[in-house]
Amino acid sequence: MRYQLSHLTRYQYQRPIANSYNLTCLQPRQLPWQQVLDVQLKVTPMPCTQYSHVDLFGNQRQFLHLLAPHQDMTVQLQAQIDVHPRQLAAQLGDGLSLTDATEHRQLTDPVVALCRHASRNIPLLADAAALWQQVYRADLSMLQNVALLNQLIYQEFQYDPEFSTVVTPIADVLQHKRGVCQDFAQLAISCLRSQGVAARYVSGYLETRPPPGQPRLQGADASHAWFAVFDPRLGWVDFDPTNNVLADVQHLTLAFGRDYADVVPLKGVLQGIGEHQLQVAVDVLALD
Amino acid sequence: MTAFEPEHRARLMQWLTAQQAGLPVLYRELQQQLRENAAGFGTVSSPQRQLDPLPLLVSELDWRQLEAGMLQRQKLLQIVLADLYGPQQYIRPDLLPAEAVFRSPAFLMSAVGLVAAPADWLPLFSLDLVQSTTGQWQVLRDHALLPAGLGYLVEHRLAFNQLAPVQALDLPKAQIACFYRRLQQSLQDPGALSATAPALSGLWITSVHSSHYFEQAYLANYLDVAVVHGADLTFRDGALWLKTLTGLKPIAALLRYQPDAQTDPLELEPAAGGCAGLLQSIRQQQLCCLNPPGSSVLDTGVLQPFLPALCQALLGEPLLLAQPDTLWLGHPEQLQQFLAAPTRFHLRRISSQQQFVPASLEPPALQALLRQLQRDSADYIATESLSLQQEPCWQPGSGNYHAYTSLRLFSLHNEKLPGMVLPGGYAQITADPLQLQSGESSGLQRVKDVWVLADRGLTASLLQSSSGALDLSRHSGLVTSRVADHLFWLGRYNERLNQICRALRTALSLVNAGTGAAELQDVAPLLQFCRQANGLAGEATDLDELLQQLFDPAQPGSLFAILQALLFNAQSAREYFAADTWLVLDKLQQALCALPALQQQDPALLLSGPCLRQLDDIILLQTALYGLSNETMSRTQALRLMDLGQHIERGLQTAALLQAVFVRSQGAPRASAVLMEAVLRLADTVNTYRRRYRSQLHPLAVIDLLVFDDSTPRSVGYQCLRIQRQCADLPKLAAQPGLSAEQRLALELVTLLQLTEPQSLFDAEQGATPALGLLLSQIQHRLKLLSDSITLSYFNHAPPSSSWQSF
Repeated sequence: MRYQLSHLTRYQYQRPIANSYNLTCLQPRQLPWQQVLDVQLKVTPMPCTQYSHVDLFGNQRQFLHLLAPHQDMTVQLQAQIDVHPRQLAAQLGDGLSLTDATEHRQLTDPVVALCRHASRNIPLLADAAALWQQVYRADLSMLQNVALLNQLIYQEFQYDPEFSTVVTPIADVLQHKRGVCQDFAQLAISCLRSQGVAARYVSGYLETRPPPGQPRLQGADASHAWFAVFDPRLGWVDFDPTNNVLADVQHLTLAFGRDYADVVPLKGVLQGIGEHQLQVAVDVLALD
Repeated sequence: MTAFEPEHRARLMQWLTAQQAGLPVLYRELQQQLRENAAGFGTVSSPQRQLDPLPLLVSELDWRQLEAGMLQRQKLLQIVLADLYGPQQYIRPDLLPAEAVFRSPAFLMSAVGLVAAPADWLPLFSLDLVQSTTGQWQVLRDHALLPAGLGYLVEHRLAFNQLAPVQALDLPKAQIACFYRRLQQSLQDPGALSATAPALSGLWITSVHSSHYFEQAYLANYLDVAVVHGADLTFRDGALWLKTLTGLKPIAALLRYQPDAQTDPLELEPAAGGCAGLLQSIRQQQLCCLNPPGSSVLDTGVLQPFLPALCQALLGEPLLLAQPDTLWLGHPEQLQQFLAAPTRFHLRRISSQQQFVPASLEPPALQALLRQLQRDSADYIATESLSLQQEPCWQPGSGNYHAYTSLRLFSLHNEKLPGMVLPGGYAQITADPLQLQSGESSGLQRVKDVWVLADRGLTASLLQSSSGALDLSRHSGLVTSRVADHLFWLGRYNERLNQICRALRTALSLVNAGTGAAELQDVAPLLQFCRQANGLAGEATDLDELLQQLFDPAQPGSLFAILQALLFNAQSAREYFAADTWLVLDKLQQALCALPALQQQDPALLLSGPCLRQLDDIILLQTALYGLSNETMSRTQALRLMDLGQHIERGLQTAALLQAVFVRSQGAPRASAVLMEAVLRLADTVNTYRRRYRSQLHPLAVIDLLVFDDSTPRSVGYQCLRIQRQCADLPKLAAQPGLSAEQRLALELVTLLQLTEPQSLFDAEQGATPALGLLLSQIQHRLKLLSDSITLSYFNHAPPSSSWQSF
């Protein structure tokens, strides 16, 4: 599938701002199943300096410094992306069992090992670990068990954009059984890491199709998030608990991290007073 | 003490015996010296250190081993850190298991790839050692984040050299200045910035309110580097800049006390105290940080269990410095080893840094701890508890006694210069060996100076004589914008407090003089002024209510709020004030606190003599403050800013007072003679007025004296002239010709007064014309603009801003 992606972030400030420092994580990943053909990051007003570096997970980060006073800042990512089917659904049974996977843990790459531990947003909670006990079947592979967990979260938790914000702790999500994609991904990760399984957070986009007979709305899409589990045999396998599917051709991958805090698309520190207004518009258009 | 050569030992015993008689005096003098030093920095409240009169002596043989061992350990840790934040090829189960190191919250993902050369990951290293009963030195802890001691030990050595020169000369001890010179070189020549822009270096303190502020400021002074705070720094063009009164100055190196996670609010914790862009400037190779953020993962002790194997694998040799047996309990065999005798160890949790001492636990608590531990044993590190050797110490009362000591050493090693260990140290004394080993310190610190008994170059030379070479540069007049800002507001708040107290004193005497309706009417404008001067809400009519508000510590506009602001600003610019100033500030606080106590006894007392005497005291103490600043502060830009703050405030408040008194709404009665006299008294000008006009009170004459006459130190005209003079001497920031924005505003103020015809301000019936109100408002408006303009140009170096926020 080929997509035209646009992700626009706009900050409007009550009073002019001078000196704003921003760090982006907005460069879609080049992956065996995803080719980024053309990518542009447009920032207005023009930053006075801009630097880029690659972080531990291989994400391309941009450091933007805006010095001239401004009341409006927009950061727009535009890219053309090809996503190929991964066809992992049929292979889940080929993965290792949980016990075998745990034995392999010593031999993995450090970045995989990093994804086995609690991180700033993802404490390892006993209540999250209990979800695993609810679904675990010793006769299934680890990945098949993760698919069951994915389904459990999908069934038992209600999608509710009103309930959570980017800083809602997992404990609240567990208690109220509601949240959004980010919460479900982080909850699943907490559950998996308590079993010693390496799980990472994936930020990206989802192609949404309008109900039959209705026109497609531009900019109505949103950022999406899911999680990936490391199987020593199959590598990283992506699960989307919000939709109870394996991430595939409808999922566009932006960045990897331990949790949301590692891959915030745009964060900043600015010098100034007054309120600001944020507007985000994401558009994922299938080209073929 | 071990490994002393026989003749050395004999000499040492002889020396120690010879000291005995002098110890009580030396002890007292050392403590006195330390107290005086701290008072000079305005830190009387910091927890006290007691310096033992008997230094810890290290023999040359021991020292050579410590030196080699420390440099080896630093080199090893540099390689390990560079790998951890780089290729991660040693993160392997047999060397450094990911399961252990990635649990540590001190591992900062954002620091990956920050610097490339291993030496840049840990140019400045410190460690804590203890001596076991076998006489062997053992490493307890490693530090990448600068711990206490580097400044204290200079202070200790100087105190000894000053107070016990003869005794000190008796022993051949290594001098320590060479290390500080090397540290200075590392800071001044990090090789990052171009030679064309001579860059500054700074010592990054945690907070001026921290209990270690004294040491940090003392060290900065000794090294002759700027004391900086996150708010002093700003990122521009890939580098960090220091905001100073004379503009932005590039910073090439930072000696850092600020904790790793709080250095950059953009990429690390969004906390105050950091500087956005710091990590980026290190990536751009424009800033050398001693040490870079991320390095304090070694302070958590998570690397310690793996160092013996890492040293063998990476350097091909065993660790030279011994360390107590340290087990990582994620390893099944090591876990068994620990479980076999848990009370032989103390424990630390990697993820939370919590510490446990199994030996001090009751059996049920120990069982609970072991159960908890086995659920996630990979999160624990166990360190063998050592039995330690005791050192001779001395204190008044008990005289000679023995206690446990830990020794802190410092070393420097970077790409260009060979490694160097500071030939001396900072030793802490405690009665409890477990406390020493777990690293928890209590309030009062007993410390020792450490002498290395080694013949190295000019061993006998005193530090004072060699410190001359340290003065490579004196950035005199370098005042950071933050400090200047505090001094400016110190001037403003002190004056504001003064004006309100004066107005209050005058108002209270008027009330005491009589109780008629006329007097109360006279008092109203003064009360209105007191209320408005610091922005209290409401109308000024009821005297009791106003007094309650003014003396209510919870009110944001009360006298206490002003005093708090005054003290806060003074503490934030501590190093500019002499000890006497602190004494006055302390008394000022006491005097102000005495007022509400009076009120609590009986509200009526507020209107009585004792209250007036308290106000007299406060005004007198403030005058002392002005005098002290004038007499003790050097004539630098710093003092100029304080002076500007004071006179801008005085101009503002005087204009506001005259407006309240003379500019009345239609139909309101004119200022009575009683009120006019009160205003003259308030401004200390009654005598001047009487000399000029005898006893007749004309409003025009009062206005002339308090607005136009620039020979009256409290007149608006005098303030404007003084402000104009001070503005002309402020540093020029832009190379543009002509007047600066501040000079232009000052000229406008002076001209405004000169062009006004005083006669036009009053009509034939001695009533104020609208021109008077307009003039006084214009003056206040321009003074406010001037204050804003100074803030903008000299403190912010950026368009209007007040705070940092993140999204």
